[in-house]
Amino acid sequence: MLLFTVLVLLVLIALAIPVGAALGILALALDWEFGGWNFYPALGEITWQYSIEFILAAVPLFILLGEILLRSGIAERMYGAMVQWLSWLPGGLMHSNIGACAMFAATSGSSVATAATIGTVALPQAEKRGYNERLFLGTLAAGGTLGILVPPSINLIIYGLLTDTSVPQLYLAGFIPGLLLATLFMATVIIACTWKREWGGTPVETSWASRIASLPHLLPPAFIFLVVIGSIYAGFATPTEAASLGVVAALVLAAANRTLTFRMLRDAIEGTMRTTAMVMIIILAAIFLNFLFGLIGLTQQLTDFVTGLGWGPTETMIALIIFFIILGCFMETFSMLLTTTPLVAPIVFSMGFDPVWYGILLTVLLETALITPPIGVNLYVVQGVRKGGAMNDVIIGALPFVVTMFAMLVLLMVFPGLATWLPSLFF
Amino acid sequence: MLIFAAFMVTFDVLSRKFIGWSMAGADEITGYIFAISTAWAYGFTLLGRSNVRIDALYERFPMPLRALLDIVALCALLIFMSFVTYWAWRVFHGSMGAPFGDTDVWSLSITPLSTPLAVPQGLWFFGLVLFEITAFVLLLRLLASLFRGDWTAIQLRAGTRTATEEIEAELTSHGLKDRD
Repeated sequence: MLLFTVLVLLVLIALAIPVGAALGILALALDWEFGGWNFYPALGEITWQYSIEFILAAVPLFILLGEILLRSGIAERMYGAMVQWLSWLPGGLMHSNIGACAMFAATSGSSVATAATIGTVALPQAEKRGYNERLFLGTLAAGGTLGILVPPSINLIIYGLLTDTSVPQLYLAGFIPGLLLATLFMATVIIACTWKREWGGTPVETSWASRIASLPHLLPPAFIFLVVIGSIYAGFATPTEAASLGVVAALVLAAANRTLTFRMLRDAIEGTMRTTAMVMIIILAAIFLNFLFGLIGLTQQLTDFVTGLGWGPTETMIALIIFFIILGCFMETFSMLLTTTPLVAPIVFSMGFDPVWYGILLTVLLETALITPPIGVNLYVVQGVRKGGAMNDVIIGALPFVVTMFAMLVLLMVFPGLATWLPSLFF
Repeated sequence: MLIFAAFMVTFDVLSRKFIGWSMAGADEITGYIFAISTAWAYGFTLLGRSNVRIDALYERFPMPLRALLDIVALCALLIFMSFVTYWAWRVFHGSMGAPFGDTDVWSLSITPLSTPLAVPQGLWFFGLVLFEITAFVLLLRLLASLFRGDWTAIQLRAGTRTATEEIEAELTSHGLKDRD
């Protein structure tokens, strides 16, 4: 049964069948082969229940929030302010890239949106100031991945839904690792630029006066962050309601900026629905699989198999991490999250790992997947924004940050408190 | 396409409107809007070739094989979504009271709104049917191209994003861009 599942899945995915359809057909095949076609009457109700699932409605809302911010010019000004504050470090604007990504990540739940937004604003600067182009591109691809770790995060919502873990707890748990990872990225840039001075480019002229003057540009993202995350922890909004509040706040800000037009709205909604429908097909299929795996006893079988190997929890976790890193080279993050969670999460929990901690670890692994070649979505995004030049520049530029992420994984393994301490204060 | 976008705007304006107020049932309505607008967007995603496909191997295949895989991929999606649509039909049919042979007995949701479920479910089902039609028409066109041996046309309509971009870049460089 296990072999059958893995083989069918591998073949379908290798044939470039759309991931949603691959998971769905696997679910049908499993039901046919092992379930005796018994479960399929129940699937209609499941489809409907999840299609109207209120928590999932947060997904399009968060995507829409990012799209509005992207199109309203708010991100651009925020980047300008970050330049004023962070570019004195060795590596100059590259720190602004990471800082701006971290800040944008705090208003957006998606890594692709983060990399695309900050990339669009930052790239024109690279050439003008003579930076090492590769490393510059790398900071954008890597910084962008922070989008799914720093709350709000769409991936954490889906993880929470699939594993029955509290989304507010996951969000709290993402804070410290998110900030730490941003700091580690900056440290990477500092090390690289101290080693090779010429990579650093010409510094930007700043003064305290212009720094102070730039502060108001940081307010809109801070405001949205406060609305979204604040309302969750003040206890008056669920993640979905917070996302709606964020969308309304972003619309108000866009209106204040005079960038709110019908055309802009239409583009934003078009982009949102395209992504949402794509994600929802995969989510529905993954939910069927999740349901079937439990019913036909596959989860139990797999857990028995892994326990039968006689490895301790740490060895198993290390094996899993290596497996995810390899998988991450070939798979895109949503697919990876949704394909593996139904199978892997029960094993991990049965070994006594904390669901919140594992959620954060998995997210860092997904972030790594975003910048590992040949399939790394953020690499493509940055390359797409760049228009021209070799893809290899982005890949090589992102490599140092892959190493940084490995360091982050080790830190999370050694100090689980990085993720679990903050939620433990609140819950 | 424009009409479709306009529909989505309407749905979205509605959702925004309902969410600002903490009226009873806002979450329920949001859920319905979410389900319906997503169902209506499935076809759109298909035409935009936005469905995720893992093309690590695919990229290395020759053109005819890729085109064949594009068709297989579409069929797979069509099969899976047909099941979903069929289930949706059963849910919708059930809510209309069909099992009792009496269409006046509509199921109501067990919430303060007691929505007649057949209404949102009907719209949702309709969105899925639209997807099925879109996918089916696309399949017919792909098959037509296949018999003509026009691999490029298949890739342009149904290939993965990266593959299509390559082709488009190539076409542009040969000054052949304006073919659609």
